[in-house]
Amino acid sequence: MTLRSNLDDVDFRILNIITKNARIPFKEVASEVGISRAAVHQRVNRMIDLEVIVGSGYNINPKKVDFRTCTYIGIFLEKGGLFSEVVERLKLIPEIVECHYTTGQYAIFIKVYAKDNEHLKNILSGQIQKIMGVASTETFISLEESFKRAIPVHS
Amino acid sequence: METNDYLEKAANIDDLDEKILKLITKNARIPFLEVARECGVSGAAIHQRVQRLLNIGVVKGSEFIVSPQKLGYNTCAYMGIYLDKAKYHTQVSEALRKIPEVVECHYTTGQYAIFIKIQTKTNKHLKKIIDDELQEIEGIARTETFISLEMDFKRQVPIK
Repeated sequence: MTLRSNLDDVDFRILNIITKNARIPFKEVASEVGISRAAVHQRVNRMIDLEVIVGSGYNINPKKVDFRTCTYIGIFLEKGGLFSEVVERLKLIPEIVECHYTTGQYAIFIKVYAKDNEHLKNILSGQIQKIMGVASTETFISLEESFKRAIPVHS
Repeated sequence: METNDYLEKAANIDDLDEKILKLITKNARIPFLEVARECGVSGAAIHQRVQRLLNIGVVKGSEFIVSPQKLGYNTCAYMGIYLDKAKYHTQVSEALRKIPEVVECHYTTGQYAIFIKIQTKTNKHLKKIIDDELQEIEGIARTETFISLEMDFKRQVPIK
């Protein structure tokens, strides 16, 4: 189910601005979109209520906080039914920043940030592969993040 | 693109910076006075610290996080891309950048040359992008798609 139809053009224009800069004064958003500041507040609050907006945050550059290795890991399970237990265990490992249940050859697909390859090895063999139900893993190290961005709000 | 990327050093950040980061990565619009109160320093100090974190590149900006589903993006897929020749990497990633539905693009080790994350409205929309846009890019030999049936979690890197 989608609520896309409940959003109008002005909402999309607001989203386009605030998804790129969360601290922009709403007064500035208002003048760019051509409505009052109070109306921007109201619309943002409405989108929060509708859960179109699920939060906000400053984005950390992982390299600057010493996480230099970005890796995707495909996980094979011994049995498909072990999925939720394995996910619960994965959630306890803070270096795992993303976790998906996917189609294709892997049951679970995760994204991991580690300080270096040794740290990655410790997370892999010391933590992930010790989880009951994990049969094997396949690792893809990202040598370069060519780009990363938000979904297109308009299209 | 930074040419000396491989030399990039971790930034010098102290306990106070880490405390601030923990708060502002979870809520970008938190009043700095509130951050100040929680950290036990002045509001001006927080302003200064955040500005410094921005200047040295520890934080790359801020964003409101939208729910893809609520915007009608119901299909999230990862795709491994095989190239005809490895040297096509740059031109292919430039071509991928022009497709707004491709939200992430990595140059990876392992069987794929390029690994992307793609967000589309429906499976049909995904197929259309694969057929009309991805397969049209010169240098792409073939692709392998993993559709995410459920995103269990997504979060930022841990701050000590």
